[in-house]
Amino acid sequence: MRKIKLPVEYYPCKCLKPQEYRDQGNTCIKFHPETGAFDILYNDISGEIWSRIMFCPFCGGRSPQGKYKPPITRPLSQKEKLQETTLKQKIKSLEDAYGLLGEPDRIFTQYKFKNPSQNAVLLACEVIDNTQENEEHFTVFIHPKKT
Amino acid sequence: MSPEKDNLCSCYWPEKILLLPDSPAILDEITGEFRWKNSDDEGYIVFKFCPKCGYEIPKISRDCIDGIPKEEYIELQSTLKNIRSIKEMTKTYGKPDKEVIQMNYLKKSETVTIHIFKDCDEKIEILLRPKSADQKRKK
Ligand SMILES: [Zn+2]
Ligand SMILES: [Zn+2]
Repeated sequence: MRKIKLPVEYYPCKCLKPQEYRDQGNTCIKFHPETGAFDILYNDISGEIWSRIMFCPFCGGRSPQGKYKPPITRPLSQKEKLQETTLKQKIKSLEDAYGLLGEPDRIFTQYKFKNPSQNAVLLACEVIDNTQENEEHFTVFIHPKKT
Repeated sequence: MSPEKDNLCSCYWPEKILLLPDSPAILDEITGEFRWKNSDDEGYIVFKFCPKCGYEIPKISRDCIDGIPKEEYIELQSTLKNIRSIKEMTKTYGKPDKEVIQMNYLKKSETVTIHIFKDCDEKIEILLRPKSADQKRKK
């Protein structure tokens, strides 16, 4: 069983080491100015990774998680609900969607390979982002067969 | 030894880092320290806690990565190393067993984004989500 620290066990990081190290350019600890959180920078098999520091590697305290706020949502209006129903009636396949709405702005595809080896499965994620000059990302994760 | 009982990392993130080709980290055999090398190879910093689960990093490397024997994990990783697309992946592993697709339309409406999902049973799901003030500005 995988276990992760729960909010009741959290204590805030006060050791200031992440701040100290990120000011030394040659360490893997980076401050992400856009999110206001700390990341670890390294290369994995898919390329460069900025991996969020959830807990301080030096004291185990909860790290600042940045200023990301989940967007405030509102319920759909009557008119929007109607649009949704109409789309549901008209779109029964992805081809229908292309025919009616054209090329999507973003496409996420997740592929699962169930039997690449005895104890593992592979999950491959492909993102095609047409909003950013056809940017494409491809990442593969190795997971245990039984979770 | 049970990582859960001993309050040790059980998410295996540190091991996954150690097994990366040209890993940036090593587990020092004598001290058991998890050392992350600096980018200029001048020195290192020691991680005591796992940055993902918050528990202590074990001082001995484990033979299994989350139920996958180390050798098997390394072997898989080496075959995946230069794969950069699903096309290349299919050449090595054959057709995937499952495929889930999500398509987003962000600019079709002033007030909502349109999300279309296809699960592995070909079932189509359609969702409209109200745009946040931020999305409206970016549009
Ligand atoms: Zn700390
Ligand atoms: Zn962990």
